Amino acid sequence: MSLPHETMIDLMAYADGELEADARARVDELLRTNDEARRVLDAMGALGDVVREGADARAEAAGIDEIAEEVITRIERAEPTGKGTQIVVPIAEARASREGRGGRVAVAIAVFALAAGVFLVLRSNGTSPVADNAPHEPPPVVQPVSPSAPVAPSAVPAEVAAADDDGVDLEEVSSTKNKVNVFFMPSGNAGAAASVVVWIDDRRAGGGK
Amino acid sequence: MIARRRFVALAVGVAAMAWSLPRVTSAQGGKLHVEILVLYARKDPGGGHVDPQVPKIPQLSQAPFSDFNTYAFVDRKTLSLDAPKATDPWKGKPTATYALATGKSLDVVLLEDRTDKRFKMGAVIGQDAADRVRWIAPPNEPFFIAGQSYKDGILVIGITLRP
Repeated sequence: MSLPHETMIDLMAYADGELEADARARVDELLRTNDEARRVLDAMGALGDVVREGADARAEAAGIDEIAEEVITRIERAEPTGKGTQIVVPIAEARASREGRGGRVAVAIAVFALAAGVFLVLRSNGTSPVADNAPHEPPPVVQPVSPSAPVAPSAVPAEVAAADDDGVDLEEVSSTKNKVNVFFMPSGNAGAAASVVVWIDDRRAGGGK
Repeated sequence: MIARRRFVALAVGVAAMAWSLPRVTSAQGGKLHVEILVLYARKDPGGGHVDPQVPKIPQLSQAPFSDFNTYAFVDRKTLSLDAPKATDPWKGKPTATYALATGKSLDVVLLEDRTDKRFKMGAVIGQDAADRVRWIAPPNEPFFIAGQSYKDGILVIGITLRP
């Protein structure tokens, strides 16, 4: 046997009818000019006949055809009646469905990865996605509150909200003459506990008794 | 095992006693005091200075106190809250009277011993209680009244209940 390995492969594919048109034409040309190639092909055909005859005989003996027919009949009779019932669908349709499902999974993974990336970038910048959309909170400094009118001092007691449930809460501040401001001092700064400063500015009244 | 249980029980008992002791003391009355700290704060264009006598109070580093760069110690007194207040508001409540450096009077009043370990307090400054403040605070936590004119600055008054 002097035929190269690639030619033997082509001949086997030719015998099985698996070659494309151009390759088949090439093998046809080879068979027309090469005796050894023709002998090899004849041998392959004879071998195939022997195999097919043997297989058919064994299948007939085993009742394969009856089994296949029975399976097909049962599948056709079957109706989707419950959880365990599977519907037989064409392979091409199932493959297309699976590919579509795979596409949706890929899109979901991509969206999740994008969201995770955005979260990590924002986190590395010291912000959070939620805080980025919310109005920015003022820095943790003292927040002045004016419980009484800043221009006209009021004698009416002003009820002021609590600053800290466990610390110091202001309940009332009033002044008949002076301007009053209230400063809530948050805890945590310089180790200070939360506290309240009532600022009674008596310059308007001259600081008298 | 028994020794360990006894030890745990003893520790729990001691902790419970330590927790309840301040409440018992304050609930019995007559043992509460008020500490009044008075500082003189001003803005010195030539540079800030803090009197060594000024106690280290973290709040002084925060606004609005941080607007002033010079603090001088004026006075620090601990007074008993056992005299019934003679006039309104809060007539009859245990009070302590203090004379400020400005000449005004400061009356500090104990209004209520609350169940949350805090105390309701009140203070009036000046004649006819021109300036009146009421607050709730735990013992040893200062409450500040500031802004009273004094020389070229203001007074900072820290009021702290001491059991």
